[in-house]
Amino acid sequence: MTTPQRNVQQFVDTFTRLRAELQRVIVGHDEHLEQILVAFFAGGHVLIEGLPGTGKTLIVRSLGELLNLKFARVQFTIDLMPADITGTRILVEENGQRTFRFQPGPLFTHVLLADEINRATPKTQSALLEAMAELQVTVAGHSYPLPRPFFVLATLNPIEMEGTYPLPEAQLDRFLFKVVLRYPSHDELRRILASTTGANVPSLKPLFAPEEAATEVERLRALVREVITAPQVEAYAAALVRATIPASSKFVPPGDAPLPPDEAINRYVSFGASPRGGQALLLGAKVRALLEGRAHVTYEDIDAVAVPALSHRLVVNFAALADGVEPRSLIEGILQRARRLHARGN
Amino acid sequence: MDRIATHGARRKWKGRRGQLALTLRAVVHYVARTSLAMAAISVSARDIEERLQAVQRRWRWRVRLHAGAYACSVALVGVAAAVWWGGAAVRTAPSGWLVMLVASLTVLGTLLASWPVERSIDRERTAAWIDSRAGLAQRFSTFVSIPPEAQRSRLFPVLVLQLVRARSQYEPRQLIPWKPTKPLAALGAASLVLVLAWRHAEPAHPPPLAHRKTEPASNPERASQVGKESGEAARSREPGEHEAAVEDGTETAESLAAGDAATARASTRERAVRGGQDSQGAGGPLPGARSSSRQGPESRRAAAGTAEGGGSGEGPRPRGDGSAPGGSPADAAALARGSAGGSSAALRPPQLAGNASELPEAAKPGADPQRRNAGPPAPQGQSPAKGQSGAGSGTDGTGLYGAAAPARRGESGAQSEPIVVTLPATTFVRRGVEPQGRGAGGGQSLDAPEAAPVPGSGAAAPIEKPLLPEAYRELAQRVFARSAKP
Repeated sequence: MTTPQRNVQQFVDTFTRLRAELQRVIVGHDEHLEQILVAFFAGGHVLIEGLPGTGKTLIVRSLGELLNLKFARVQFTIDLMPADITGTRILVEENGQRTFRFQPGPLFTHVLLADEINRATPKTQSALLEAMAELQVTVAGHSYPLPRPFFVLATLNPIEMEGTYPLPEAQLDRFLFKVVLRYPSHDELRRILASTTGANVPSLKPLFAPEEAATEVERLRALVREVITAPQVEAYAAALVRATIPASSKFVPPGDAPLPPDEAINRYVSFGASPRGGQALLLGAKVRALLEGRAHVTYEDIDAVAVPALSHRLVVNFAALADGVEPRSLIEGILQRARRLHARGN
Repeated sequence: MDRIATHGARRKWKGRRGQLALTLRAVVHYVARTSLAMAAISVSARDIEERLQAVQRRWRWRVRLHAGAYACSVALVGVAAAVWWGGAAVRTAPSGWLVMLVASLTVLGTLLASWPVERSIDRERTAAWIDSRAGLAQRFSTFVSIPPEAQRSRLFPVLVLQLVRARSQYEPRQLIPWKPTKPLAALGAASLVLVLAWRHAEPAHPPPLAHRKTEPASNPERASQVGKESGEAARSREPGEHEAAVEDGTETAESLAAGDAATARASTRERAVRGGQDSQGAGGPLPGARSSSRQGPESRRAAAGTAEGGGSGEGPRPRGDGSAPGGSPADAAALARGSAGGSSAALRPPQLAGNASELPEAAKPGADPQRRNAGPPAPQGQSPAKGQSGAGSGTDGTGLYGAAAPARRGESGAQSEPIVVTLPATTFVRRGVEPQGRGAGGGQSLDAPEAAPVPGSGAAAPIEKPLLPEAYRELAQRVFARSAKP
């Protein structure tokens, strides 16, 4: 077995063990667990939306423990200030001199759980923008790089909307995936009850040693970016992203859509996905390709990650809210049309 | 001191040598491993590329084969249809060339139309097709389409290796097997249809003329007598039995070759009577034309062809030619006079010698001219059908080449019977000419007593110019002038 093959196999093994360990702790949500792991190895951040008690915090905490990475949790509240998460300069006295020294905030970690992020003010939420996009924090004109890997898992509570601040679109765009947790099924709920109320609570066994965990994760993340993408697959991903933009948008050059215009998109969408959506598509597809032992991305990989990668990037209008149209259904409609065209092209 | 220094230098050298050897070994090992790995990847990539080209070639060849086979099938079926409905004329007439041209254009057009299809079989399309057929999960199309800089990826060898491992799934012979059963079946079926159509339209060819040795009758008097009797006998033939006379005519010619024309005519007459050939032929010089109006299209066509081109004096004149019957004095004389005479004999209508009351309904005056003119002329150089032979022999039941052959060959016509041909004023069935009654022109009928040969001369008397009625002169001149054309 050559070295690249060994690397691919190692990636598959690591991913499989991670998923298996998480599934020991978290009952159900197999699909969502996989999406979270895909986003983690793709180097992105995940926004988890779910009702209270569905295991959002447990997922994030379990992931940190399994990877043996530094883990921090920030409970976002309305009075949380940006300096509370980014850090601040404090006045210290050293050698008889008083100087300002930067005190890193909870952002300086590997895995950050931003719990109920929509309860913080937009100012605090925006403090995450630079950290999530550029992996650095700027305080008082000085930039401090964040440790690698840096992974933000934010949770949203769809109820109790009073006193909350919806995330701005710019911040939503920073999340690679948005995962919506549903209620567990009857069987899953029974298993949850059995596993959490008994004497033997399942414990997690870290996959990596603490000193090599960050390096190992970074190596696997770098391997993901080595996955080969054919030009036609890139064009397919670009066409999907372009199809989310309504034709009436004034920010779009006319006659540029590779896919025929979609009536639903024109009717219900105010703003489509940004180029970050395309990046999320390709990166997620690369992880999925590696998971299957492939060194190249296929159309099916793109389709598999389209909904979690694009749905939260669509800004729907009032008509969609009135008609109860969700972005997920709009993305699935685009995928169906794209598949038909692709099948016809072949 | 020197020793110590030397020892120290030696130790130093040993250490360097060891380091150098270690370094060289490492370099060689590294280079060998790297170059071998890269070489293996390059060879594998080249192998995959060659396979892709092989599949492309095979696919294009398959498209070409299918297009050609189906185009040929369509063209063959078209030719078969033309032969079936167009008859034998399609094979020789200009319409035949037109059919062949259309068929060729069909094949050529189909092959040209398949050219864009062949051009569309490019690398990307072929690779995608291989992926779908071999279940390679788009590995082949990715390998083909990635830019050169993407080949520097660390995972590119994995892609190549996976393609090499799956090479048994995209063997060109496996992907595009050699089973062109449908096009070949279509081609075979079309060929069969063409053969059947050809056989359907194929006329019976007469025996080659080279085998017929014809000589002038040694006894013209007896030959004339026999011919007269034969003509009468032929009137009693049954219609549709002229084929026997064809064979009889052949034998008659052979008998005449033996030098006894009269005997041969007699035997022919007997066979004709036995065969009951064309009893309603009225014993005229061209009863075949008359019978053609009653019999099949081949017979009509043959008879008409005889009337049109039989007297040209050029080319082989088949038996059954209206000018051929040796027993018919008029025909013999006409042939003896060369082309003009032959033409006059050949162009005579079927009712030439018959009584109007004896004519068949279609040939009677006032009948439908088209019906009388039934049957298109035989194409030039075309052998007439069997019915034509029957018509000729039906004149007198004698050999077909008894007296006509010498005239046709340009031999002396002096040995043939002295015949006075007078075109009767009977019906002249020809397009654009009104038929007339027998006595309209006041001419002499062939039923009239024939001119007797000069007794005791041993050779035929000089041929007298036929008496042509005034009403036919202009027409005869026109016809002769037309017949004299090459």
